[in-house]
Amino acid sequence: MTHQPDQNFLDMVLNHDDSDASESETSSSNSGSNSNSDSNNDGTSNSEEIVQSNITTVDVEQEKTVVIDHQTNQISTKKPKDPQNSDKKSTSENESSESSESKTDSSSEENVNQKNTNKEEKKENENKKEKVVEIPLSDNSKTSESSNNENKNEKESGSGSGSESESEKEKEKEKEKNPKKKPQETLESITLIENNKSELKISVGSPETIGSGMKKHTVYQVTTGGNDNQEEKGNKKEKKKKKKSKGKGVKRRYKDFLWLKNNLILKYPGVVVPAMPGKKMTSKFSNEFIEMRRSKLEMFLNRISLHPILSQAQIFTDFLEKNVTNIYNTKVIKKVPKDTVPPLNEKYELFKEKEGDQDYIKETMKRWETLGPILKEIQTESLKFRQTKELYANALGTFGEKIDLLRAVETKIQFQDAYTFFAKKLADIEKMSNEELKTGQIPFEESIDDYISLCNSVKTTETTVNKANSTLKSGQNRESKTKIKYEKAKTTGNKKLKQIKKEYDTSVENAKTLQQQYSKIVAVFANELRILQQRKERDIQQFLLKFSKAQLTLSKQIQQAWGEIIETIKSIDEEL
Amino acid sequence: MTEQSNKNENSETTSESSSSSGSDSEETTKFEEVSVISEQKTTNTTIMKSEKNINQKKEKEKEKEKEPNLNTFQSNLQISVSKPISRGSGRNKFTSYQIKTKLKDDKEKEFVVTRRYKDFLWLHNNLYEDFPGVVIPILPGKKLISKFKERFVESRRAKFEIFLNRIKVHKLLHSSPYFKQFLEKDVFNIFKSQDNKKKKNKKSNQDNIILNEAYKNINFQPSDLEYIQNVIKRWETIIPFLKEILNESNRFRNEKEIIGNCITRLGGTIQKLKKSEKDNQFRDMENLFSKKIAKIGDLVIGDFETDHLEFNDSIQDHLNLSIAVINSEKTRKSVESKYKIATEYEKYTKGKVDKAKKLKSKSVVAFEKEYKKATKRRKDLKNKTEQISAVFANELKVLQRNQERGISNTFLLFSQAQFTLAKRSTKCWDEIVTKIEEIKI
Repeated sequence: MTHQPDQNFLDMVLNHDDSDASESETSSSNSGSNSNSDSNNDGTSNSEEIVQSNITTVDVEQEKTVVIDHQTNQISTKKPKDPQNSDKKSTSENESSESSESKTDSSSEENVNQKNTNKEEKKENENKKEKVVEIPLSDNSKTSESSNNENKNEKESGSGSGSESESEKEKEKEKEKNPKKKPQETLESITLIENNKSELKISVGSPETIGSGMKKHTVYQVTTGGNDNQEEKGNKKEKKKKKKSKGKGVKRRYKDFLWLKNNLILKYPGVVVPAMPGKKMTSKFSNEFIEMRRSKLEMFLNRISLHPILSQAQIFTDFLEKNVTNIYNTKVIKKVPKDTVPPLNEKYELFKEKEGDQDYIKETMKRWETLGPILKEIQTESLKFRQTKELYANALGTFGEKIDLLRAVETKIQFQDAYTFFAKKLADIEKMSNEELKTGQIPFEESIDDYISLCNSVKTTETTVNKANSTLKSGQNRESKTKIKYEKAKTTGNKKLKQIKKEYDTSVENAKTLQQQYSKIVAVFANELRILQQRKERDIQQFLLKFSKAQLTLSKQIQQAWGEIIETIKSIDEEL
Repeated sequence: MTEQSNKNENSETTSESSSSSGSDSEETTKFEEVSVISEQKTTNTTIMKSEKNINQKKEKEKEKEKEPNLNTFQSNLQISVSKPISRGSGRNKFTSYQIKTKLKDDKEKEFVVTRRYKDFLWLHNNLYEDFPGVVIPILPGKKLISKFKERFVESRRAKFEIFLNRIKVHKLLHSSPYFKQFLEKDVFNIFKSQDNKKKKNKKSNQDNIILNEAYKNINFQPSDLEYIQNVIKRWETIIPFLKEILNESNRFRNEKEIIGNCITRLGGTIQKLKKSEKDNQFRDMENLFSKKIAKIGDLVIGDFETDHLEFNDSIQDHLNLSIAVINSEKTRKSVESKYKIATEYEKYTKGKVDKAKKLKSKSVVAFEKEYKKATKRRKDLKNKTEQISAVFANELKVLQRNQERGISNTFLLFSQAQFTLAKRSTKCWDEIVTKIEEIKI
């Protein structure tokens, strides 16, 4: 797909080498990271791997997948699951190389983030974000980068010393956890970094239904955030960014989103692509449905924007900016010769497969597979529970109303008042119960739903990995076949020896590439799974906690209401 | 027993009785005590309070009224209902109860009989026939299905006991021969006994010899009629309300049961999460979550289900009582209308006499005879109407007070049960929240 002439800044930057230091402010950190990467080149590979323990500390804070881009010293976070993280602020590290690639100012992201009203925990996350500081990958750059980061963090979050100290804490935590690893090793010193793109707050809005009959569909306005207020932050780089990235917004329909998702899955095997709301054949024009879909689509885009790999995708940029209708018609996949695959995105180079990765994948996938159906059961029971609660509350309220009827046959005013009080309290309980549904039950169900989608996404990703594996196998197969052919040709003195040799060589080459690719894919997937695992536990804890707290509050309120009723009745008794 | 009943009758004829509402505290007392004993749910405070109330009232009213009241009666009998035994099989299955009657004075003398629901019904219906104006104590309702559950049988037993004890202390009712037979006659299926007396009574409703004597001791006041008129409306109005309350209460109870099940199942599914968990902390937490939730589910369905059923029973009793009141009023009204008709008839015969006199007809004497008869009848019916009305008015006064206290007690118990349920649920959820928060990742 060709780039458009008015290709935005991001596109241009995407074509840059990651290690470019784009802006002055980031130069120091960049150089730091560059030197780091250089030094590391000797010892270890460029690719970073994420150590789970590291991620533990960090991820818990941020609930994100952490991917470290060694070259840029960026740690980007991916949040396939948690929409709350969509409004994370980028750390200063992000600004190093990727900052230049971001579309909007980090501070603009911050502001836009604060406008995001999706979830309650968002605020929590924002606070947590401030803690996140990129820990430099090497000792050398550590201090400079961290101080840089802290500074940038401060600027971005505007939280001053708070973030500093917290980032310090982070660093120390990290250090504690990995005392053994050398400073040169990249993974320990990972903190969460926002991909600069995450500063983009993408909003999906103003759904309009166009067309009619079979062709009727809904179109959404997709805009990438970026406010004037950001300019006030006084960040040169941000200003520059803002100037260059002027995404006005495009109209997209569901098919376009689907196109984006499917192509991301194809182009980025091993990466867990965020889930999309499902297809629907009928009754897809009700306000409720459209709103639910809109918010899920918004979450989808924002999660992509937070993923270090996915956010760099050309098709993602095109999706957000290219002003064409029905972008889903665009062909993306280039044809490649048989048993070969198109080259992987350059980000994959940052990863190196570790020995236990494949086993880890097997083991973890088992658990993800059992999780899916369990969550579905929970969802079913939860729905039943909610419906029952509604009926129960209603029955209680009506019961109270009937008690109030007794007023009419009462002569004593205390009794009359008591009946009314009784009815009122029961009506209160009904109200409180319905409130709880909103604050406790429904968010709980949404979390479960989200997680079920995540399980599906993980499964999909596994298939891409398996597909790469089978491609590899067939490539290897071809290699051995052509080898035999070549050997044979050699001995029989075939005329076409050159040609056959060429075939053989290509197949060897191809098999090698496939092997490398597969290894990278495995590494990426293992990394994703590690992060998800951590996040899963945290998330489950969170939504069970939220649910239970809501029940607790309701129970307390009900207890109090009955207590008041008892007091009233007792006081009447005394009067009698 | 016969001795005793004779004594009672004598005391009745000799003592003055008034239809005032005074000293009906004893009736109230008995009601409270009995209900306290048989309704095992009352808390200590309620018992103490009600006793306190009773004592206070007793004293108050004893001072007020020196004349013994129609409805209260110091009985020397001790009646107990016990030993419910299931007998028969299939469609003929029933439960029998042992009725033990002791004389306080003569501890040696004791009557033990076996009675079943149908027998109680027989007694009730006969009392209803014999004592117009009296609101016969209500019987627990008939039940066609699931009448052999322990809880049900026990509650019935208790209600039977209340029933008999109320009759025992009622000035008019206790003297009923049917009551005596019920307590003494050692036969099975007393409900089958055809009583000739009954037949006779049916024929000439106004000739309730025994009753009449007792009724004569009641002073009628014209205000009684007014009172009845005012009060009876409320009893009428409350009937549909109580029905609706009962309906809603049942619906409420059903929903509670469903919710209890849902809660438990939800807990069960959450527990399954631990299958995909490695972390022990999580498994423990998920275990606790489902355990506590199951406990809440049990609470909702189990322990407090009973309280709800008790509440429903109480409401049903109030409803039955209201219906009984309305029925008594119908009886009273029918006597009253007979009286009105008799008055008209008297006028008519008087008219005939006057006319015959004018015409100097030979039938004057015959007509005068008729007129005399008519007058006699009118007077008789007037008396009866007044007596019945007086009795009824008194009944209403007593019932009014009892009902108030009864209803407030019913609601109090119900609310206390809901409160305790909520309290225990709160505790469970609190434990869950604490446990979840404890997990460090």
